[in-house]
Formats: sequence, structure tokens, C-alpha cells
Amino acid sequence: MIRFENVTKAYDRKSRPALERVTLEVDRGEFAFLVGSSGSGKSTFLKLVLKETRADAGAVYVAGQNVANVPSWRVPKFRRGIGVVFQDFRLLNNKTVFANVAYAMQVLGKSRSAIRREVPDVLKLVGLEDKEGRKPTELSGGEQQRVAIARAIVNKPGILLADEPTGNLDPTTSVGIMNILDRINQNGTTVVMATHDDDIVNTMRKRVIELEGGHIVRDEARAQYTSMIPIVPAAAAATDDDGAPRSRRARLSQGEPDPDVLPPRIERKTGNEVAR
Amino acid sequence: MRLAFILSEIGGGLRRNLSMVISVVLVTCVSLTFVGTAALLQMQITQMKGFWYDKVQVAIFLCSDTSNAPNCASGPATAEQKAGIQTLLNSAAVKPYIKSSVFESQADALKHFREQFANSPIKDTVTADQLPSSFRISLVDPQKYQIINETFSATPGVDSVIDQRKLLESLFTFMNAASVVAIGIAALMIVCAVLLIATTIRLSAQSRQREIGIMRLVGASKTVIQLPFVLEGVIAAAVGALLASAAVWAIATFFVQGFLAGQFKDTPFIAANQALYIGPLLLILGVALAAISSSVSLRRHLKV
Ligand SMILES: Nc1ncnc2c1ncn2[C@@H]1O[C@H](COP(=O)(O)OP(=O)(O)OP(=O)(O)O)[C@@H](O)[C@H]1O
Ligand SMILES: [Mg+2]
Repeated sequence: MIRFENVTKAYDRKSRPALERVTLEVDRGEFAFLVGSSGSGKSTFLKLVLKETRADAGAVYVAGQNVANVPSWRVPKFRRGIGVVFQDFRLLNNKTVFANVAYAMQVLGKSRSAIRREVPDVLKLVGLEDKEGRKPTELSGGEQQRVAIARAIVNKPGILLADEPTGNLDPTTSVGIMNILDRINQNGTTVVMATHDDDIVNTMRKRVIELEGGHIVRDEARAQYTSMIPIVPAAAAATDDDGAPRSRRARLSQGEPDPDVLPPRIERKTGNEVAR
Repeated sequence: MRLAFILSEIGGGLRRNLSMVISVVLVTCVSLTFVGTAALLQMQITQMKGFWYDKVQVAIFLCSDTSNAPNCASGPATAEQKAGIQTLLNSAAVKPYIKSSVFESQADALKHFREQFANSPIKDTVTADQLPSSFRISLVDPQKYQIINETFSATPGVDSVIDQRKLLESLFTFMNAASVVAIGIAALMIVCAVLLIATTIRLSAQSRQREIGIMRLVGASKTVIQLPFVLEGVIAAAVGALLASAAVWAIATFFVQGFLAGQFKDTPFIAANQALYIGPLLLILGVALAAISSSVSLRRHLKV
């Protein structure tokens, strides 16, 4: 469904590439986690799938089609096959839940009757059938993310990309979101999800693709993940801008990690100690 | 459905940016009014040419009590001198150039003068003996004025030979200059309008970044994304153009027909309904300008 062949992407010549010679295949119907520290290239990977940005070298195939060969006027149609969910929901706050989901159908020119028929179905799938008249501001973060997911899948894309969809949510709410993504995946949609959340990865036991500095350093089925735990002073740990209440895990503060000065990591394979 | 969506987007956009939209309407209106005024001037020139070039007349003014040309040193033209001029007009050398000639007596001159200046106070201060009598000549070829001038200017009893076409030409020059000024102002205002439309569209697009982002992600076509913005500018410009058409019509009706025509009865003026032909042109111009400037602005500021 998604195939990368020696893909390199550098945003500018001076810095190291965001992705370098990445080769990878995600099959139809698969569920894959994309993990790795901040700046490792996860979002860049998703952008390449969406043809939001161009690969400098190598080829990206989506649904059997080389995205480089999709002419710009065909890009909108190409994107209809891909749903996207972000960490920050990106809902329209002046529209109701129903209208937010319907919007994705309206802009494609879907008929009113199709919208009235299909929007309630997806809202039911994400468990929001009783909240369709609310505005996003009247919803919890988890509910807002479910609206965003409903909007991403309402046009029945074959692929769902999620860039840290649980990044703003507490662990319990995240589980609810993961259940929905799992259900969507079981309905046949290929799901690729970039995340920092070890707990989720370890609970789901799906394929894990780990990136580091633009390279794939690990690709395992039914795998686990423990984000690196650098030895950082308390002050740096306090600048954690992730928003997630995961105090047991110190993280790198924002900024691009320089591989050479990267703090020592603990052995990854002992990640099983993470309780859940 | 897609149309309904686009229309509702346009409605929302116009409401959100009401003050910008109003300024686009006004600037477009003013600039196109100048364009329309220039067009009216040109129509007026055409109208006057059509009228005068048929009747163009060279006037041979005879000496009167008040003339002080050297040729008139011996006093007002005598009956023999007048007969001599008439003979010369009928001579083989001059006759071929002349279509017709009419003698205007001093009494006739006063009558015509009073008609021409009916609305001016000077008409009552002039008496018949202050006005010269004249031969009014229309030429087969209006360009051949010089031949008449050479033949008659030294003839006894002739005060002066005047090419009335020359007089009109200076009026036309004035009107052409006025159109150039109007077009110049219009061009400046159009630049303002274009920049304003481009800015409005850019602001409008920026204020809807989130919607645009969502539309792109779910695969809305370029048309669906851009059309509401382009049409926003086009509708504002079209309203401005309609107002400008109304203004041009009002100028033609109330100023030209209502005022000037009353003031200058001897001059043919364009009819008010001729201004109606300008309306559609202004509309096309306004819409084209808005469409071009908003698409250029979108191309630069809205990645699709
Ligand atoms: N638009 C851009 N222009 C220039 N450099 C960019 C751009 N987007 C990303 N980068 C760089 O590319 C590298 C990879 O970024 P990317 O967003 O893919 O990381 P990520 O794995 O998604 O990180 P995070 O977990 O923090 O979201 C980073 O070094 C980043 O600075
Ligand atoms: Mg990212």
C-alpha cells in the first residue's frame, strides 16, 4: 500500500537529511507505528506519503502509484485516498461536530443525502453519535480527536495517517482513540501512526518502525518500544512541551538531537518494564 | 451541492471581510467611473465631429465699423466690394472647391449670435453694427481652407477669413486632454483597486488557513478551494462596476443632458441612453481585473 524505495529527503542542503535512504513497505490493511525521537523524520515520512513534500531521491509508491508521477492537478484526487489526523485536531470551531465531518464531504461535492446518510455512521463508529450538535469547544480533547478521525475517514480512504494523534491526550483517553483506530484498521484501512507514546505501542503490539536521524533503525512486527531515557537535568525535563502527563519518563526537550552529543540510552530491549 | 458549498463559502467570506469588501467596491467604483467618463468624452467628440464636419464652414468676414484690420482702412465694406467677393466665389478658380455659400447679413449675425449665447448675459450688450456680415462657405474638401484664405484675405472689403474647423479642433484637443487625464486617474485608481483586491483576497485566505488546510487534506480540488476567494473579489468588483455604470449614466443624464445641453444649445450632446452602452464594458473590465488580481494573489499566497 505504501512503499518507500531508497527515499532521501533534505529540507535544506546545509543540515542533514530528514530522511535518508529509507526503504520500507507497508501492506494493505496493516497497522504500523512510526516511532523515534523528536526530529527523527516521522512527520516527514507522512508528508512524503501525502505528496505534501517531494523526495530528493528514491521513489514513494502509494497504492501502487509512484507519487512523483501524480501530476499536480491530480494531487487532490490522490489525497482523497488518504485520511490524516493530527495531534492538534484541526477542527473548525465555528461548526458543529456534524458540520465538521460533513465539511470533508461537502468540499468533494457529495450530495446532501449522502452526507445525511454517512456522517451519522462515522460518528457512531467513533462513539459521538449523541454529540453531533456540539461545537468542538464544548468537547473534551479526546472527543475532539474522535471528530477529527471521523472527518479523516468519512470519505473512506484506503490509508489513514495519524501524526501523534494522542499527543495531547491523557493515557485513558488515548486508549479510547487507539481502540477506534484499531477498529478502523480492522475494517480494512491501512493505518500508519507516528507516536512518542511507548505505552500505546506496547499495548497494541503492532508493527513498529523506529526512525533515528532519518534512518530506519528497527522494523519489527508485534513489537514494543521504549523511548530513550536520556540523563537530563531536572530543569530540562521540566521544559517537556509534550503536554502529556508522563512524569516517569524524562525526555529530550525540543530541538534537533545531535547524534554525536546524544545522551547515553538505556538498553532498549529491556523496555518490558514499562507497566500497562 | 458543490455549487451550494461554494456559494455559502462566498457569503461567509463577504460577511467576514465586510469593510475590506466595501473598500474594494468603492475603489473599483471610482476608478471605473473615471474610465466611463473618459468613454463619455470620446463619445461626445465623435458626436460633435459627426455634426460639424458636415456643416464645416469657412467664414469670410467683411469689414464693419468696428474692424481694424489694415484691409479695412477705408471703412465698412461697400456693396460693390460685396458683389466683387460674390463674383470671385463664382469664378472658375474658386468655384470647384465650394459646396455652398450663404451670405450672413449683420442682422442675421445678430440673430445667430443671440441664439448661440441665449443663456449668456452678453447677448443683450451686442448690437448688429458691432457684428460683421460674412459669407459662410462650406467646402467640398474641408482641408482646402488655405486656398480660400489665399484667395480672399487680400480682397478689398474682407476683414478676415476664418477656418471654423480650427476652432473646433482646439475644443477637441481640450476634450481629448480631459480624457487622457481621466484615463490617467483611472489607471492610478485601477492600480489601487487591483492591489486592494489582491490584499483583500490574501487576508481572506489567511483568515481561513485552517479551512484551506482541511480542504487540501481531504482532497478538495483547486477550483473548490480557490473559487470562493476569486469570486469574492469578482463580486465586490462587479458591484463596484455596477455603481460606476450608474454614476456614468447619472453624469450623462443629469450633467450632460440636464445641465450642459441646456447651457450650450448650439452643441449636440450625447443622449443619456448612450451611456448605457458603457455599463457592460465597465462590468467586464471590473470583473476581469478582479479575477486576474485575485488569482495572482492566490497563486502567491495560497498553496494548493
Ligand atoms: N518544513 C521544514 N523545513 C525545514 N526543515 C524541516 C521541515 N520540517 C521538518 N524539518 C526538519 O526535518 C527533520 C525531521 O523532522 P520531522 O518533522 O519529520 O520530525 P518528527 O520525527 O516528526 O519529530 P517530532 O516527533 O518532534 O514531530 C528535523 O530536523 C526538522 O528540523
Ligand atoms: Mg512530527
